[in-house]
Amino acid sequence: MSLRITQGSLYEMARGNISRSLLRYTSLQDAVSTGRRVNRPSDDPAATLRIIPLNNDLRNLGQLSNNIALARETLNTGASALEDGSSLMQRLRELTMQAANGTISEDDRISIGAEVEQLLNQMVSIANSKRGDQYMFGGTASDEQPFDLVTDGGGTRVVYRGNHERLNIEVAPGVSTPLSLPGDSIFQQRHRGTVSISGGNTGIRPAGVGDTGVGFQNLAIAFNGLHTDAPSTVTAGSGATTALGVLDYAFTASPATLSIGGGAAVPIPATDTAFTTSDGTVINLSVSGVPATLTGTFTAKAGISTDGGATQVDVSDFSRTATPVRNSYDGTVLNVDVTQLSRTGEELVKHAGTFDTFTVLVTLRDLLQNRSDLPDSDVQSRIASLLTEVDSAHEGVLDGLRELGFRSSSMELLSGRVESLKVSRSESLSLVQDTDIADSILQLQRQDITYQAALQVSAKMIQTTLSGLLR
Amino acid sequence: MSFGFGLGAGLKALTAARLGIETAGNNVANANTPGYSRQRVDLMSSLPYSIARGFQIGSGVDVSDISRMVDEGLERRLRLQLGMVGAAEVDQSHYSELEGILAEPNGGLSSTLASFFGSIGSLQSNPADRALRGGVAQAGNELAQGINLLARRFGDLGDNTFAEVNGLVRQVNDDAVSIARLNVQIVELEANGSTANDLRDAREQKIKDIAKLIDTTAMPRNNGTVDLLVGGHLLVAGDRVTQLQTERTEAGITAVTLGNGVDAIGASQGRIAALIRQQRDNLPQMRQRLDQMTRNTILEMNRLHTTGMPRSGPFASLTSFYGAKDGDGDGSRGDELLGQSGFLFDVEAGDLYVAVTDKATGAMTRTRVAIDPTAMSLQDLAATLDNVAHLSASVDPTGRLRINADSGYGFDFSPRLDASPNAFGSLGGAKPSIGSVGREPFDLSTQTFPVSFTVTTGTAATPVVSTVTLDASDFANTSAATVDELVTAINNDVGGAATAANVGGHLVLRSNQGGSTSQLTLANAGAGTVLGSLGMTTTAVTGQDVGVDVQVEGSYTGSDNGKLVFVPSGDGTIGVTADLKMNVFDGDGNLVTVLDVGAGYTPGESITLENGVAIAFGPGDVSATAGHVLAVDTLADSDTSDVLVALGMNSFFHGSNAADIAINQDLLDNPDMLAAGTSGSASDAGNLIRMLGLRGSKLGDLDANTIEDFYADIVGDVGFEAAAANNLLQSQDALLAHLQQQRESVSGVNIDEEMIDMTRYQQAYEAAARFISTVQDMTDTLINIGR
Repeated sequence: MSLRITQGSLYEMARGNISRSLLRYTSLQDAVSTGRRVNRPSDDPAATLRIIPLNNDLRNLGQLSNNIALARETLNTGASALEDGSSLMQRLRELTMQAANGTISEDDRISIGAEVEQLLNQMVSIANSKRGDQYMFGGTASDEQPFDLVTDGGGTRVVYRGNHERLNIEVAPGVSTPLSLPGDSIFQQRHRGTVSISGGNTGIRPAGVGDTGVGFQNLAIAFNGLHTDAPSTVTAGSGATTALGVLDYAFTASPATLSIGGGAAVPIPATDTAFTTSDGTVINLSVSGVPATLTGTFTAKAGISTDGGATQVDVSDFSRTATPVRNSYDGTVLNVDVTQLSRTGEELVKHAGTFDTFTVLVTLRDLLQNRSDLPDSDVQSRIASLLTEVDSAHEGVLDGLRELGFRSSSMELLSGRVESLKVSRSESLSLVQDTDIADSILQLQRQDITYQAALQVSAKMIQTTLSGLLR
Repeated sequence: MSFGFGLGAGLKALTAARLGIETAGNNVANANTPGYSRQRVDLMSSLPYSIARGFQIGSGVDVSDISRMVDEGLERRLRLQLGMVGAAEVDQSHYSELEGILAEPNGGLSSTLASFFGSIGSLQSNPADRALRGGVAQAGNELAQGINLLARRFGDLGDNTFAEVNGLVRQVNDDAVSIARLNVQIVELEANGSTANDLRDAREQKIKDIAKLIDTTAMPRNNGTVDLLVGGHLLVAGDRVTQLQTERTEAGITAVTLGNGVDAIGASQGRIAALIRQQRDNLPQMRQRLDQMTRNTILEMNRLHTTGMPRSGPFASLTSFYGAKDGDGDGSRGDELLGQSGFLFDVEAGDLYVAVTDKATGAMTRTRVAIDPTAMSLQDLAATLDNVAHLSASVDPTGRLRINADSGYGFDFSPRLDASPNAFGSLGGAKPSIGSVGREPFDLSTQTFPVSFTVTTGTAATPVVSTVTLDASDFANTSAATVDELVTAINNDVGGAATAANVGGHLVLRSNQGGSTSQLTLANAGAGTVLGSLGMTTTAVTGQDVGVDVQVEGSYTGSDNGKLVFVPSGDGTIGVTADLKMNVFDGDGNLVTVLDVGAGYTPGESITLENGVAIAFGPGDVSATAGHVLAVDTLADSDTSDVLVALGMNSFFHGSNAADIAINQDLLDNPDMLAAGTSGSASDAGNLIRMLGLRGSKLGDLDANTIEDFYADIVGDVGFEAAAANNLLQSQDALLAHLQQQRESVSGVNIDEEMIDMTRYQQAYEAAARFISTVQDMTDTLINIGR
């Protein structure tokens, strides 16, 4: 029997066709109106698996864009602070040139000193620049003031309280950049050179190793009593002594005399008597009698201090080429060679290359105010010798500026890269998830036609029955 | 020939035609009745009779039956198909609902996850910003709530199943009762040999209604009844019905049973079966995967957060969020082993490093606490922590661990480097010290125990002598004495003048008096040679006015917990002595590198080592002869035991699964508690960097996926399943439509056909009437002849 078609199946077929047609119609309409091809995972599960990571990527790249903007802003803020620092250093150079000129008066020098003092305070506040409520030049310890101006018995100095950790932020996939520089690498960067000791002709020499001192240091070398190798009858007198180190002594029995360091014989016993050596140095001794041996050596100990006598290093072994002298205020160590030390005195120690922005300012101010009552000529020559240090300190600030500027401009490049990545990711995403509008509209039109046709045909079909024709 | 006979044939014809028309009319009337089967009048010529000479003549027409046009095989396939479509519909709507719940790929949890990591990224670029800190806490909260919502809605889906199945089961029962009743009626009606067509149609329709809901097999019996089997059990047997019942298993899964029996219906098709299958298999799997993702997110985030440092620096006090459960029911909490204390996360055997910081000096002391969950209770842990200097720890009555630092001190569990690791002064310290040249273990088996040595401290002018006696009982194994055993034994005897310590596996004995006049001398007492076995010098050593200041910078980027041990190559002054080197060993005593710290090195200058560590040695003297040694802990994970995670010590998330994950409320209340760094510096983003690293790390417990990928996989799988369910429904629908088409073709009413039938029967009726009239005419004629 051939297949029977009934009205019921005709209706059913028409209904099914129309509803399927309508379903496709609406899903196309959905795609066109939302602009997205994939509105739920089942629309295209494979595409969904690509869309989610792409969306995450895009979000990530947006984050990176923000980071770059933030980094640029931060770096530029830092750079502008350093620009201020740089012009300040320029002014300092002019002032130094002026002060080094021998013809200026005491009053001029003091007024220049006042200006340098101001510049110092300005420089500290530049180094303590903030972005928002956070210090920029303190490493990651951004809520503590990184540079502290300390004045104590050891003088004025600026202490770095920050750390050397860097806040790195991601600015491109896998690329991080530090947002700031640790302040001491800008304002206190050092290229330690040789250390020189000059002025006092005490015979002391720099050991040249292991020094941690900064800028100028005053080295005070005093007589610190007799070592235990002195004859038992000889004690230090209360008068002034300039001779240091290992000294020869020679007693003569009759007349009872004592000669020190090959100097003139002095009659003994004697109390608080000055003995002059052949070098012209003087040692003040009290001698009560003649020892068993008539000739020999003994040691006049030295007391060496870099902190103005607050603490002294006692030197009895004059063969040491590296004796550490510690400054009790700032904890710095100066190693000195005492093998040729032969007399007391004051020496000026210069740690070349260690002058930083702050020590230059402090040293210059102190020289201009002449707090240690130096002779004018000394002041001038010291100021003059500071000129190169001013330049190198300025160079340090400029280095920091260049570094920040370079980073800021590389941010620009990165920004371009991230933007182009964003575009390419957006394109991929669009390719996967967006509706091909032209194609969809074409399909929509075709679907429209199909739908209309289905309606018309169905209408025709279900109208026709025999009953209408039979009379 | 008789006229009566002619009229009889005519009457039969009239009846047949009338029945034909009525049947056609009935067919037309029922053209749209669901389940109606076209009926047909079966005609048969009635028995002929013989007339003269042996001729036979027909006696008209008989209506033999009014039959239904039904293909039983087709009906059976249709029932099966209805069940399949029912199941496909349920699957499709289930997955479509799941898709709705997930709301992917634009929106949904994937974007919440991305925002969460994004907020960490934002904070990382500006860790001191309080608003951004709050943003991270808020994003964590949103993530937790987003996951909760998913879990709850998955749960709702499952909870609805019972009510839904129950409703459907009631329908099945109603239909089964109807079928039983129809069975009775059909038997009664068909007792006289006719067919109860319409009742059979009604019954078939009820069977189909059941088939749509649950797998069913119809077994027709000879008496006209139909038995219905559901999952191999009789639902309807003739006039009896065993009702289905809906029950809930212990696991909360809906089950359907027959009567009061326990037989679960092993149905595979139909709406009921599909609903149960979704609740039993698919939903738990979804929840399990969501739980798996959540649990690992909580674990990893908390591992990082509990070992981080809040903005405010080390903690003054901290109480665990979770307490130990009273597992043995003795009323006291914390006395069970850590492994049996009912924590949400397992405590592993490992190390916990706790650092105590003196807030005034910033000096940090780090203590390693070995955790063994099979041998240590929470109270043991509290006691161990309580023994750490400046810490007090206890277990409160609710089983929670409470740790307090003394005033002026703070504690933390961060893996940061100790910035001043030489607090003990074992390398060029101001106090004289003598260290063992070698590392542990020490072979003391040649000694005759007890063996003694003297420790002379104080100054040359006023020496203080104490004697240390080592007993064999001090050591587990005298041929492999450990430093810790030696330290305990020595500290018991040496008194207050000196202290022994374990420095990177070296034994160090240090005078407690500093300065250049302070002295330390060790001497073997009697015949003992123990100092030789330990590799400690008997030469007198003196202290320094100022010790070597050692500073460590950076953060350790290696992947394993370890140590860096620094041992000078000779005796000399940092930065002064020519060729003075610092040998750097790892924790196992392997040489890592050699640092130049002699002439040419500026004391205090940082030397960069591997893995992000930098060290600087200040000016001062160090001595190889005296066994100077310095150890720096390099920690990648300061809690390998996860005990902090289990206890919830300043954790990021609370809970352990999708339903109970929650942000630590403290972080919302006070974003400063967020552990962004590891050091307490305002702009330290060390911990945030670790958290961001979590984003890209492929976790073993997530099948080597990142958290986001794992989630995307869940979404993708739902998508695949949903697409498959859509396709299946479409194809099953098409198949059903095809079967229905076939059924229509056999059983459906074609109105045209019926019209034709009607016309045919009408004409037959007319002809029959004509025949009767003709016979009547003939009779009349005959009668009139006789008149």
